[in-house]
Amino acid sequence: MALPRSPGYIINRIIVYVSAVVVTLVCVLPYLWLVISALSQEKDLYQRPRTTWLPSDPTFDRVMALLTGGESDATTIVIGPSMSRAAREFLAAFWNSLVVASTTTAAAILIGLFAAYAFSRFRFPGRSVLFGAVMVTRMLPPISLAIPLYVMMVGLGLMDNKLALIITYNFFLLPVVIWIMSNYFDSIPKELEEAARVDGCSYLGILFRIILPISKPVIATVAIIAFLMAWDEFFFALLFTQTSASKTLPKAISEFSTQFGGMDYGMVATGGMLASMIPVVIALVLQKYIVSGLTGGAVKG
Amino acid sequence: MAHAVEVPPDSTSRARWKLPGLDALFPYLLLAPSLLVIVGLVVYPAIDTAYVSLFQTGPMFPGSTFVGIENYLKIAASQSFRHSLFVTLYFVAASLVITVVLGLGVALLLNEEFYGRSIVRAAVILPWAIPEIVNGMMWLWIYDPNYGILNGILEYLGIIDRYVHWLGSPFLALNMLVLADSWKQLPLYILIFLAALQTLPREIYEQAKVDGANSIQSFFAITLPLLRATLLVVLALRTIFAFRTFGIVYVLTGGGPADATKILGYHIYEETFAFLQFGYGAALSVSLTALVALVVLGYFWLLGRRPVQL
Repeated sequence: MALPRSPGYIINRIIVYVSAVVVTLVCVLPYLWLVISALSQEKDLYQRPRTTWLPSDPTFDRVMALLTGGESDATTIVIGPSMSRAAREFLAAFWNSLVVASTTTAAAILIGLFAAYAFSRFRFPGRSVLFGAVMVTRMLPPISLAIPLYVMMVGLGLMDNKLALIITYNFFLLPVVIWIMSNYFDSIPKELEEAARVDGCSYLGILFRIILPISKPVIATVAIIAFLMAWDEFFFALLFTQTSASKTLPKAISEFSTQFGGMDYGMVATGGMLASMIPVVIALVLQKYIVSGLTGGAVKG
Repeated sequence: MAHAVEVPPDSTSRARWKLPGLDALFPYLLLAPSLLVIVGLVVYPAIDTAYVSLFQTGPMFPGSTFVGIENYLKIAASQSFRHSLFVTLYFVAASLVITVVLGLGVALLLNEEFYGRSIVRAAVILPWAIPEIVNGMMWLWIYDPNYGILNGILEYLGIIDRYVHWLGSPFLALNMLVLADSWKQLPLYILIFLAALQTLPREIYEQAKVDGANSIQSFFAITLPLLRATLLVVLALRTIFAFRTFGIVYVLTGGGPADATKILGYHIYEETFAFLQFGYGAALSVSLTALVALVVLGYFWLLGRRPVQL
C-alpha cells in the first residue's frame, strides 16, 4: 500500500508475514500432529507432561496393521484383541469408500451432464423454475429426507448394501454437478455450435462432439469435488451400513471409539491419516481445479 | 460499476435455442434422468417427511395413528427442544462470526502480495480436504484431557499449570466444538472471499489512495460495500451448513456434556433413529428446515437483493 521502505510499508509487511506464518501453522499443525501420532510409539504418544514432540523412532506397525487386516506378525504387538476387528474392517471400508465415491461421482456426472446442457443451451417453459428448484434442494437438511429414504432402502432390501449409498449420494451431488457444469457451458461461445447446426449436426452430437471435448477441465473439477463430497459423507453411511459389506471409512473410523471400548488414539490417528490421504493429495496437487470449482459456483467475476 | 459477484446467469443475454414442434420436448428429455433422481430422492422424501410428522411413530409401523399437529405442539412445549434450539443458535452464530471475521481476514491476507503466498494458500486448503469424521477424531485427540497436545503445548508454554478438560464442562465444550468445526469449514469461505476480492477493480483503490484514504478507510468505504453480495452468499451457505452439523458432534462430544453440544441435527437423529420416534423426529426435521429457510430468507430481505441461487 504505502511507499516501499516507509514506516507504513514496513509495518504492513510485518503484519502480513506474521499473520501468514500464524495462518499456515494453524492450518497445518493439527493435521501434522495426526500424522506424527500415527507414526509414534505408544511411549511417545502418551506422555504427561509432554517433553518430546517428534517420534523418537517412528513406527509403521499400525499402518501395516490396518493395511494387512491385522494379520501380519508384527501387528499383533500394537493391536490388542479388541482392535483386530476394526483393523480387519478398515481395508474393506477403504475399498467400500473407493467404490461408493467413484461410482456415485460417475453416475452424477453422467446424469447431470444432460441436465446442464439442457439448462445452458435451450429455452423451454419452466426452465428457470426447474433450475431454481434443483438448486433449492441443497438447502434441505439431509436429516429431513432420512426417514423416507431409510424406509425406501429397507423396502428395496438395500440395507447394508453399497448401492444404498451410491443411489442416495446422487441427491446432493447432482445439484453441484448441474450447477458447475451449466455455468461452464454458459461461458462457452456458441458460434461453433451454430455452425455445426448448419452442417446438420444433431443437438446430442453438439454436446458430445463440440462441448464435451472442450469441457475436460470442468469435468475434472466436478469429478474431484463430487468424489471428495461422497468420500466425506457420514450421516447416511451411519444409517444405511452395518458390516464390512458396505461400511465406508467415515463410519468405520467413528467406530474406532464407540464399538471397541476404550480409545486407542494411535489407531484412530492412523485410520484418520489413511482415510484423509487421498483427499489431501488431491487437494494439494489439483488445487487449481478445486478452487475454481468451489468458488465458480458462488462467485462470478 | 460491475458488482464483484453477479447473480448467476439466469437472465443471461446469450440466446438459447428454442426448438419448434415435437422437438420442443427434447430439453425435457435431457432433464428427465436428473429430475427423476431429484423427485425420488428429495421431493418425495421431503413431502413424505412432512406427512409422517402428522403421525404418532410413523406409518411404517403397524399401529401408528394420525395425530394431526400434535407432534408440533409437543415440540413447542418441549424443554429439550428449546435447549437444543438455543445450543444450535449459539453454534450457528459463533460459526458465522468466525466465518466472516476470520474468513474475510485470511482472504485479505492472501490477496496481498508476499513471498511464499502459494505455500500459505496450499496450507489453507488442507483443512478442507480432511473428512469431517477424521476432523472430529483429530480434535478429540488434540483436546484429550490426559495426553492431548493442546494441554501439552499450553503447559509447556506456561499458559496453564493444570490440564484442562476441554470437552468436560458445558460452555467450554460447545466453544471447543465450534473451533474444531470451524477449522475444517473456514477454507471454503476464505476461497470464496478471495475469489471475490480478486475481481475488485484496482483503480478504485489507487484513486482512494490519491485522495488520501488509508487502507482501513478503503476497506470500509470500498471493499465491504462491494463484497455485499459475496457476504450474502457466504452467510447463506454457512448458515445452511451449520444448521445441519451432525458428524463432528457425533464423534467429538456425542451431544454432551449434559446436552451442552446437542445441536438440532444431533437431537433429531437421536429422537428419530435412537428412540425411534419417527413421527416426532419428522416434525423436528420439518421445523429445522423451516428455521433454516426463515433465516436464509431473512438475509436476503435484510441485505435487500433478489435471491442468489446457491
